[in-house]
Amino acid sequence: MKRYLLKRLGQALLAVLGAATIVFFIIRLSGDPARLMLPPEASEEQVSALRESLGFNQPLWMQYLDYLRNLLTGDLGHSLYYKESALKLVLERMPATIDLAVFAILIAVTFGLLAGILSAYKKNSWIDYIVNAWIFLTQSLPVFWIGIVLIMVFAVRLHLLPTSGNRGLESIVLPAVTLAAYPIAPIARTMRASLLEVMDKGYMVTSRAQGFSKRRRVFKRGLKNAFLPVITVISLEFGVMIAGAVVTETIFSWPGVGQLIIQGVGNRDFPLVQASILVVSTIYIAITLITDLIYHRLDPRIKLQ
Amino acid sequence: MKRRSTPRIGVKGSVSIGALAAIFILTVFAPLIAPFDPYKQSLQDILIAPLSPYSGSGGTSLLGTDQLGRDVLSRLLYGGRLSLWISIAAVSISGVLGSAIGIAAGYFGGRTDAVLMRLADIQLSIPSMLLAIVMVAVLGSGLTNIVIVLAVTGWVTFARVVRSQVLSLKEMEYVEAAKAMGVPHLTVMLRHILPNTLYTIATQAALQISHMILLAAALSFLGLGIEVSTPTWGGMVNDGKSYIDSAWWLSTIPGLAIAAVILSINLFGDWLRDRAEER
Repeated sequence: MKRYLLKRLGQALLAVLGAATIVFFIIRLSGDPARLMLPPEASEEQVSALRESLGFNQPLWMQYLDYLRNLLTGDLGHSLYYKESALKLVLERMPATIDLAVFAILIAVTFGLLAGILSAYKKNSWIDYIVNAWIFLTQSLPVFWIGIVLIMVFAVRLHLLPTSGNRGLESIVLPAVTLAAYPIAPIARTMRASLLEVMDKGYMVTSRAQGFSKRRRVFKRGLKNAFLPVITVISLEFGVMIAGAVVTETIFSWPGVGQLIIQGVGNRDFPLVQASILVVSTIYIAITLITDLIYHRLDPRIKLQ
Repeated sequence: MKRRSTPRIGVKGSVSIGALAAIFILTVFAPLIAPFDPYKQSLQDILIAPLSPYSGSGGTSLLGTDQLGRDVLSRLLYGGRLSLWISIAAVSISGVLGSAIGIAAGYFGGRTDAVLMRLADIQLSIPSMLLAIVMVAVLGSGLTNIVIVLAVTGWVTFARVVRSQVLSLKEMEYVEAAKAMGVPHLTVMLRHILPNTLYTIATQAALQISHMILLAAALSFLGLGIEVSTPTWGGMVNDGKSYIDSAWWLSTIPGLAIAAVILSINLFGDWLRDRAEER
């Protein structure tokens, strides 16, 4: 376990370094990052002043080393627009994003597990067909479209829920459902496939021969053994939700990190965009790491490839 | 076991191929089919509902007009053309690049494999949506740039899937035999490995096209796509967002168009996978 932990931790740190490096070079892809960060009408003096203050006039390798050194001390730069520590701004927005993701994953897990278990339990019945059709349909609908249709129906027509913003429990429902709409499908599909596979295992056949009822077999033994792959899917989807809330947060004006990134792009506030992406990627990598560790803990047969 | 040499197309195949052919014809021949000019604004026809008379050019606007009085159906057809073109171009580039990298990594193994796959892992550490957003923000949002950005986010999937198949293919006797006879590596890869991965690549390409359409639409929706006046499906949904209380058709219709295309492509991909399994 310890060796696995260390090796996996090393890989995760390498991934964070990789993400930081990619962001560093993308920002410099345009050739003149100082020009990129100022409005088109900015004067040549303003551009060279910014170039000077952010160190873009130094050789690339020195910029990179400085950048890494600053990252190690937790300095992710300053927002050009808010004139504040970028990390502080991102962390202020993080709770809203996490609230949304937690709410959404709860919805997705509830419906995904229910659909997956039912369709496996009643394989080839009408429930199974409906679940399959539902999976196929939700994977084809664009997230932003689901969000807009939900607003149209529940906020504009029925006046049941607010259209946007973050004011209490009511306002989280629509964005959370929007964000949950997609991951329900992979959770349900994995649950179904895994349960069906377990049902064919020797010990399940034995317990059938021992005369246990189907319900007892499925719910007492089957589920316990079938959950492992589902846990992986759920926690990976949770990571994707934190990263992918950009669109949902924009539709519902949800004050999270995703909205911060889009505003940052609009304001040409690249230090802030860079910091946001780094923080989100780090969380994403951490969730993947934790998933692997849980999986390894539950099933020690898993080895590093 | 198989009684027929030509495999059956079946319901899944015929429905999806039929739908895709229809979509292809409708969008490719958009200039001939579209009832009106998609860019023509008409002040007296602002936000008219579907199936209303379109006074700007005479005739009926089947799917209504937008906030500038432009015909939604015409914009939908032109927009579909662009959306499909972008995703097909992006998938072609990322497919060729990714498959080449996957074949090289799987075939040579060892250090080549380790370096290439580590590169793929590193790219995956940034969620692809965020990678696309920051790249478009830096490069600017022209047509070419969108294709490049989508291609960059897509190669990893191809590389990984193809690599894992090559790992088992290279143990095959005919590959061993070719190598033993001194056939050059490149020839072995092109003649003996590549043809056997084509099914996998095609299935993956179908799935990736639907993924790219969604990603491109999301970018346009966020205002990071192509110029605002050019019709794209994602952009049209975004335009309609401000009018959801007065003009439901603006956002709903392009969204349904995206869903129809994705549904057909996914069905087609499913059918391809079934066929690959039959083999």
